[in-house]
Amino acid sequence: MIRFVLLLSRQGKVRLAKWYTTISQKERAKITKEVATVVLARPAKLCNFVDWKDQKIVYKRYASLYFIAGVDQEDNELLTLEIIHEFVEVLDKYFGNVCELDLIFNFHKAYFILDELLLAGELQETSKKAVSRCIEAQDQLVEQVKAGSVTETEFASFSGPRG
Amino acid sequence: MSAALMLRRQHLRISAEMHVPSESFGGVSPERRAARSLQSFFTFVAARIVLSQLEGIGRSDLGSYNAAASTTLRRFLLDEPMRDPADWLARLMQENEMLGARILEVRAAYAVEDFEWDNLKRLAIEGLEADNTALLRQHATKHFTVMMDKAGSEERLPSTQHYSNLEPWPSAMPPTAYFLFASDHRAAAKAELEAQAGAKSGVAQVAKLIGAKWSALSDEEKEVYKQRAQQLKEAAAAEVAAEQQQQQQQCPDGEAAAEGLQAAGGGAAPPPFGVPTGLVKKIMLVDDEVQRMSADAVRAIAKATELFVQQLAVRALQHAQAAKRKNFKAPDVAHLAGRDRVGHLAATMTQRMQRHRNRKAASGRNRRRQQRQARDTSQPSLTPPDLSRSAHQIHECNCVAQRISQSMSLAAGRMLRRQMCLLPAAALRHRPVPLPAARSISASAAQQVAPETSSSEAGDKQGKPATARRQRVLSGVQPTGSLHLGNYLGAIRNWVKLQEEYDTFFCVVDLHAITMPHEPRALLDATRSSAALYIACGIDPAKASIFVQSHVPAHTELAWLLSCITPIGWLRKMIQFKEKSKKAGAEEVGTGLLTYPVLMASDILLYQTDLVPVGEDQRQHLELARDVAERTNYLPRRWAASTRACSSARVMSLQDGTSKMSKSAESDLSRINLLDPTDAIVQKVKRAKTDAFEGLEWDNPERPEARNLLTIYQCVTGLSREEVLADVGGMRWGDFKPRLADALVAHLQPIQQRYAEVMRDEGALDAILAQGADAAAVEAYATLDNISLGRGGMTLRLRDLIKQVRQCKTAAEERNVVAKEGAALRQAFKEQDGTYRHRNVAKLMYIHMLGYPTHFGQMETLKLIASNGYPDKRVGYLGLMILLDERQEVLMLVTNSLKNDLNSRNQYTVGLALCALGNICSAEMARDLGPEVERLLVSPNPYLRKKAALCASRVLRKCPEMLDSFLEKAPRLLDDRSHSVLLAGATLMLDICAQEPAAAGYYRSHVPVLCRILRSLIMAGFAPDYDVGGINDPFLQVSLLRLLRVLGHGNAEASDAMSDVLAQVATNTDSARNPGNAILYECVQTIMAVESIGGLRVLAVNILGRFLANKDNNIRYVALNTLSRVVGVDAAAVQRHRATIVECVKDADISIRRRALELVYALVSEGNIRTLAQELLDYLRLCDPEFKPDLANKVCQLVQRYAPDKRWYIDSLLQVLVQAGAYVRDDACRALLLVVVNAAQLHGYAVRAAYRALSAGLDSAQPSLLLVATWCLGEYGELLVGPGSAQLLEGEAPLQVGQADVVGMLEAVLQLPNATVPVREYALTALAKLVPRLPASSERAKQLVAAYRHSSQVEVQTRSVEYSRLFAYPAIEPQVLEHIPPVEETAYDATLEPSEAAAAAGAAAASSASAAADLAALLGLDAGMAAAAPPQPVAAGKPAFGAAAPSGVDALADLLAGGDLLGGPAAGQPAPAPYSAAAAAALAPAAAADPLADLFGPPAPVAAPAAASQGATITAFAKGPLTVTFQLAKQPGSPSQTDIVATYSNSGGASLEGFTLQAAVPKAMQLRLEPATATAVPAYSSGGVSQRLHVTNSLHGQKALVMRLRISYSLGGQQVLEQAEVTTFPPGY
Repeated sequence: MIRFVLLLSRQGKVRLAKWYTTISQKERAKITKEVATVVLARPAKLCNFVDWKDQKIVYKRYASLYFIAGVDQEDNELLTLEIIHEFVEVLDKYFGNVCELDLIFNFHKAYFILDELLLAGELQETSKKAVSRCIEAQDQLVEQVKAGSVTETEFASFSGPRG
Repeated sequence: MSAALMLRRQHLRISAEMHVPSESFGGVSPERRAARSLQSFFTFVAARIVLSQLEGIGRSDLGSYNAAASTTLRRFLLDEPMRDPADWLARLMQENEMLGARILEVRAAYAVEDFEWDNLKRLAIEGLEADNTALLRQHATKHFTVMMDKAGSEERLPSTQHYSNLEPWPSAMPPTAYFLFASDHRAAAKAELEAQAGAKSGVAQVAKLIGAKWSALSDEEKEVYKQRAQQLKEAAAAEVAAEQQQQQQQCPDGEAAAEGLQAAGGGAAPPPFGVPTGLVKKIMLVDDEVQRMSADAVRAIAKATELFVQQLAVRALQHAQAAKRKNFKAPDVAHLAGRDRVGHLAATMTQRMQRHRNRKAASGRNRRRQQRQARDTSQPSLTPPDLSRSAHQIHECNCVAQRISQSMSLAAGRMLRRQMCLLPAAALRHRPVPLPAARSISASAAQQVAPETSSSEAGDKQGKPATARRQRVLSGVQPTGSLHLGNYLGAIRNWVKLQEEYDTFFCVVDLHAITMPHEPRALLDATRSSAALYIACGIDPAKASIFVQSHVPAHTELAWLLSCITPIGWLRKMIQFKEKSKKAGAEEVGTGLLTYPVLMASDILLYQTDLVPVGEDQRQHLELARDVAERTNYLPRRWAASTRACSSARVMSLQDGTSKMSKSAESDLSRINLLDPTDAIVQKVKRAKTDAFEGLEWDNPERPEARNLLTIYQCVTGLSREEVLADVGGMRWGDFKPRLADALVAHLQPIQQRYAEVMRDEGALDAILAQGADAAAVEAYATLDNISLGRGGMTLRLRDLIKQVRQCKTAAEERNVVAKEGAALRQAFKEQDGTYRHRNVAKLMYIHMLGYPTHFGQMETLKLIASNGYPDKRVGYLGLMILLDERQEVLMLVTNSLKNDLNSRNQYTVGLALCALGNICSAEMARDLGPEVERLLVSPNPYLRKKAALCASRVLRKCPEMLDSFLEKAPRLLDDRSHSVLLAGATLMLDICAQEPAAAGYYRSHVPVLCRILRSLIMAGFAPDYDVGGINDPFLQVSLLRLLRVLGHGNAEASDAMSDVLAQVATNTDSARNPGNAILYECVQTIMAVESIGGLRVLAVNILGRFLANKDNNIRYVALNTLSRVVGVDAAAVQRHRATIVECVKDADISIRRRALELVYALVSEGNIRTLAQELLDYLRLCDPEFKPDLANKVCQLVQRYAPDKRWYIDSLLQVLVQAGAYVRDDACRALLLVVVNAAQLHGYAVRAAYRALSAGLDSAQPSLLLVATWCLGEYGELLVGPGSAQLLEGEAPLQVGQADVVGMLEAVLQLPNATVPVREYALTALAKLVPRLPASSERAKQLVAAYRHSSQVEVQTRSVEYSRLFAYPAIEPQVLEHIPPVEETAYDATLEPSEAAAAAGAAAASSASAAADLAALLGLDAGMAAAAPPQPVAAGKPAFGAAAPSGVDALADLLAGGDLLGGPAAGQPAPAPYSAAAAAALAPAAAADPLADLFGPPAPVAAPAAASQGATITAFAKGPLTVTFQLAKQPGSPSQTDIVATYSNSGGASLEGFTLQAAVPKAMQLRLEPATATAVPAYSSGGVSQRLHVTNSLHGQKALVMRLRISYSLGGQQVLEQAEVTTFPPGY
């Protein structure tokens, strides 16, 4: 399983951090720091995997952002790369040519997307389109509730596209 | 004394006191003067006292009647004047000495003790004040009496009759500055005023104005006035003179009174109109009587001033008109004056004061002045009667003014109070106030209006709007130009409908109108006429609030607040601004045009408007209003969110069917104004643009004009589209136009009639507008009051916070920003306001991400989750997952919300809850909510099924007892059509198998299903939804492969079932892209892990070969990774890729290097070790430091394991030590030395190699190399120089070394700056050893050893002292320092382990942990060597040692550990082992710091613990052939620790193979097991195998030792597992 997902800027600033195992806040900060030093120091041409403590770090750099996942030893590293890429593609589609600034200012949306993609450290949806659809439907729902066009009763019986 | 006193006085004067001139007191200070008077007073009093005493009055007890003395004194008092008391007393004493003395005595006593100084002060001050008051009152009475008389009234105020009785102004009389003073005595006062004009600035102004007027007069006029003034002046002077005379006659003490006045007024009596308010106030404060009088006076002054200033204003207006000053808008003023109704003022003011709401009231200076005066009047307490009285007065004042105005020109007369309102804006702000007598248009309206006002006032007082309200509508039209048909049909007609359903506010937006150039007078007229048109069009003032925007100042107030938060960029984007500013020219355009959307936003937000019926062109402004409201957090979200535009018919220009009918269009022909006369309408319709098509039609895009005219027709006739078409569709333009014109006229005529009616009664219209403004103001100010600017409620938006943080240049700045925001958030959380909770939590998440503490907001996330709205829940759950983890107790609180949400009918809400549960659920939550997840696992909704399945994984992990419930449900997910559910199902099954391996067996039956799914994935064509790089859903494929691996592992049948599909995957997957490789990678792993056939494995290994050759580092990495897993299964397959793998060790990427190194390690054998090791050694030199530890240790291990011969071993290890000495582990060094010791023929070679290594790089040598090399030099140094040195081995370079060189080398080692303590110890030992062997340099060696006697390093010093001491005994020296004998390797290994462990145990007990460990390292060698040494005679003192320590080996370990090893493996040898003196010398200081001499005395104390530690022996276990006995021992000084030697005996005839003993102790104890000496217990053996156990009992003395044993061995191929509990430990253990 994926133990954590980190998005770090080139300066090591956290843009997104999701933890799927029980780790105290203090420990999280420590891990983030250590992972940042390990990953950011690696030259571009090296492979995308690093052995780190009892887990493997799979990372990929997209423009100025490092997408980092900590996975179990026996996990498929190549597939983890593919999951990261899928996340990036969904983000790209959602924001329309995503850049770091999008993620800085809409970090919560990035989290929402990630939550539709991964659950409990496992991939939950293999179709990018399905993820986008879900996020869109939920955004719409939020808009409607905010605009007041969906009342409480309507809201209760509201049901979006299935699957 | 006097000098000092003077100084003090001066000082006092300078600092604070009032300056009192002393010259009037005869050159001395007034106090001195007074003191002197007091002196006289005291003397006189004393004399009187003595006199009365002598007469005996009242003091009969003290003195008898002394007639003679009393007579003398009485006479003296009468005769002698007491001018100077001293002189008087002197004379008295001449006459009667006793009397004088008595008076002196009494005088002193009285002055000091009896005189009441405080009382004097109080009396003096009281008296002064009383006098002051009396004088002032006198003055005021006289003064005001005079003044009142002069003001022309016979009656005294407060009678108001006087003003109403004022004679009407004679219209024939020309206006003059003196008009005020109709009667003669008034004129006199005026004359005096003129005389004073220079002194008072206000009056000076008056005079100046009068002067200006004067100069404007013609000469004849001037002459007339001059004469008249002269007359008046003379008359006045005469009158004043007569009056003064009269006054003087009336009051005899007039002079004194005049003086008093002088003192109070500071000059001559002030003239009647010159009384400054300040002075009046001062007088008023004195007492009630004066107050009452002066109150009247002020009113009188106010009145007079009022009249005077009004007159001046008229003059000013006339003057301005004459001068035609540029910026003076006479029409504005005139208009305003016209609207302003006399008498409003008083009523308004009373109202306002009662409300206590002085909201920048629109009022001229005059009114304010009156207000102030009214307030002055009613001081000190403001009571309603006072107010109404003063208001009434002012009302009267207005009546006077009205009468004046009637007699003057109309414009000027109406101008009365408006002289300050010269600016249009200020004029606009004034709004009319309903007249009590105002009539309204309809009776019903009037009835409606009154209660509305009262209710609005009631609401106002409460300060909050009514709670339940209808939806609100706000709209307005600019009063520019006249309203036209477009306005009417598009907006106003629509409002008429709206007013029935909504609370409506319709305003004339005059503030918007002034953003463009305008004619003020026309604007004012248009404003009124617009309002009138509203009414005429059918808006009922009873239902809707009709008002003028500028009458409610709250609009501009809120607009300012909003403009402060509106980015200028937003405003510049407004299309209307762009268009209008382009038209007007960018430089000339007013700021108002830019900010006018903000004003519009404030209009909307002020009334919490729900609906804004405006045209399409205003949509952008509405959006802006919404955005602006979003930016503020003091406006509830709802208002802005629900504000929307609505619009009805869109009427186009008559001249152009594509542009809308506009007021600002140049041609009047393009629009039909509502007020156009009939013929104009007919004319305009006639000239409307048309086209050449036949007939009329609605929807032809090429005929916008037709559509427009039809729309107009439809609207005014009220027909439907079809009816219109049927009616006129067939007509030509020529027929239709008159018809349209008729319809229009018919429709507009009633409106125009009503308009005329409304306009006829201006007062009524004003009343309606005032009522509307009042109603609007109540709402508007309620909103403004709600704005929490003052309460600091303005917090940042999330975006702004992020921006702020990003702008921080330093960490400190960022901390500041976050700290500030954190404080704001805490405050917000404290206030419990839910409106911005979601935003606050989002900010909290951001702050959390920056790494700051956010625990204070955790509860907020829970509140969000508990809320009803989805948006809040969404943020809440996100916050929960980010801000909390499962360890926090707060999490428990969310369980109930989660349960509710899991049962929600909205799938997304359920999804959120599942996601949160899956990511952070704790064991308790898993238990509580597991059933819900289980239910959702079979939900009909795949979106929920997949989430539930993954959630179940987490639940299982947290709560394994849920396994049974999920075990059966999981495979059902495999029947799903949705990929994501399949994936989740496979994941869940994998997790279950990981949790409970037995489940794999249960799931094996599903292998065919899995294979089918996998096959269909491979075979299916392109699936757009799931395609990743040309591969169909690699995620699902990988997951299935992994599940197959788990299911097929160790099961041939299942493996067989899947072999086909595995082969398909392996051959059909495209390896060009990453997803394909991911699948192949997984597939290879599966093939290798399951029981697959050979062919398949070959396929897999070939794939790996391809991977390995790949240029992509990622692929190579996974290839190596897989190979290292495969190597155990199929080493030969891996062996083929050896060259590639070795290359990979040198890869630039550490991840690949590590993997490759592991592989190399796995691949090395005796056959290839030389080449491989050489490669690695070469690389060791080059590789980067972070990789060296790994590599060095791996090389060491390889060399130790596979070394073909000892020379190569020594060479390779030395090389490693040279290259990476710092990373080589100690045991590798020891193993090297062991090899050297045991290879007798290589001693010389080894020492030469060591010498070479040292001399090649002494400075860079690491401690491990130094240790090894110095040890070699010490042991075999003589071989370097002796005859042996010539015997070089093959391929060895010759070496020329002298004895001095060897010692010199050791000296250099000793002196290395980075030499550690062990290195120095080793060097000293080496030098000591070389002393007997290198006779030529022995003295030098001894000196070197002795030189370290004073070393600061204790161990080094000890060594030095010991060896120096040893040299004193030449007899034992050679034996002690002889060569180490060869050691048996296995025995060495066996002893090495326990001694190391013992050293570790001893470390805990020893005071100096590091020293002990170092020593242990040193002794470990010696111990091993000593153990195997042949028996040798030992010098004197040996028996003592022998007795103390039966075994050399054990004794060493023993003493180090301080424990007991009796009965250990070595203890089995009964004979006392030979004992090396060198070892003893080394160990002595460790045990006891005695000087060496003690060693040779009686049995050393070190022996004691060994003897004392002989403990009990118990039989722990006896079953079958096996018996286990425990020999227990305690360490002295640490009773909690028990060392146990377990001895295994086998009474059976077959050996017990694979023997293992496991032991467990209760929690309070700690157990450490050492490996047993052998894994097999031979047949018929007793004590042959032993094992050590160390137990530490933290509850020693409270709890006895208990142990549970688990013993397993195989007897004759059969596995035996035994368990036993050992409770028979003797007491004390």
